[in-house]
Amino acid sequence: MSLFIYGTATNTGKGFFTHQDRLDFFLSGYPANVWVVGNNEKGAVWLASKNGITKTKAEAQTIVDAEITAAQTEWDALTDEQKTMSLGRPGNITLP
Amino acid sequence: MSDYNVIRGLKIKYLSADPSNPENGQVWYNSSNLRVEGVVGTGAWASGGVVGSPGTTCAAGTQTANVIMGGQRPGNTSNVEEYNGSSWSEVNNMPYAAGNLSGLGTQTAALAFGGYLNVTTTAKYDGTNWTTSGTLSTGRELMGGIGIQTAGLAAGGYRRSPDNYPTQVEQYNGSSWTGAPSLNTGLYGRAASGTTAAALVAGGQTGSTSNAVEEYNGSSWSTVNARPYAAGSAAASGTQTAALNYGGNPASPQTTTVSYDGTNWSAESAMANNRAMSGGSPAGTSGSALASTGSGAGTATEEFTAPSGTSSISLS
Repeated sequence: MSLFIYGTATNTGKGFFTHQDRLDFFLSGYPANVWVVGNNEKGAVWLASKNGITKTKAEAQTIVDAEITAAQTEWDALTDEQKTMSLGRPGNITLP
Repeated sequence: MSDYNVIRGLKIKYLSADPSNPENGQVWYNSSNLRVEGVVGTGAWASGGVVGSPGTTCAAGTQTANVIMGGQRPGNTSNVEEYNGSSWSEVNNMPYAAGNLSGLGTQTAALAFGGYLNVTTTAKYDGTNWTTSGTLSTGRELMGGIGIQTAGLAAGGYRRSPDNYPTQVEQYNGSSWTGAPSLNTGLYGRAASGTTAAALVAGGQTGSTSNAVEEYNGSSWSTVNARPYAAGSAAASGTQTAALNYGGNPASPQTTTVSYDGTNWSAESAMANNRAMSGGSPAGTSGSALASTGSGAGTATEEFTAPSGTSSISLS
């Protein structure tokens, strides 16, 4: 069994995930509303309750990659001065 | 079976009443109610309201009364948003637009200062209106902001053209800046907390990230135990003896959260969202903090709450 569930869900703000959720299951957010959730009953129920759309790991990674690529392209188009100020090109992210 | 005095190196205190300010993990025997009691549990981050304009910023205030000021959201902005513990709302803009600026104080007595490029401007916020008041003697960005609007410190930072990382510290009295004793190491993006009499700065960066930590006693800075992780531009809450640092590292934002008890650092539960150069809660505590937006986090806000209050402990 996979350690994680992958999915997309829109962060609606307060109450989207609670302290108890964080104690009940692993949860990590990524660009483009991608969430990596601990693969237990409470994690699965949480993602479903947030109208989340389950993805495979590869699908989730593709979504994150597209978002990062867009951010990197945007950064590459900055002037040298703007690049200096931004303190770094957005780095790639590998989902766990 | 392990004994408490083996695990903690202490015997359980025999007290006639609960201690006034117990720490997480502390256990005692209450002779009045005949119970073994303590503060036990795990702190964790929960989601908060989404900000209106995401990006890097600086902040003042607490978890339930916060303000984010300026930054790059995106592009240099004078935008200001306030948080009431559940949602953000846009309020009066600052008198200047800047990225990489610094902040300190509370939601109703905040200070924003410096920024890109070698900005010396200082702006005060009273919860409604902004006024400029005083100028830094050396314009710089990403300083550690410490203290309150009438007694603040600007520690270290980044000065451009030519690039350098001054050890300079300046003290604000509510209307003007004067020189204060210098840091031992010049870094920018230090996570800063405390007061003008008892301050803490942790981490930071130049070409590389640092985990160096310094304490200030009102007259000099001394190097103390290093933070467990190296990163610039983490956020901080609390005091010199009870601080929380979270996130950091603009090029590769992270979720790391650690606490400091005045001597040692401990790992805490990580945030759900990676973030650096985020809004923090400089007037918050090590057990109640806010992390808003920042590089890598989009519009997401998170609220850290550590256990508090006394619980009876079953010995069966």
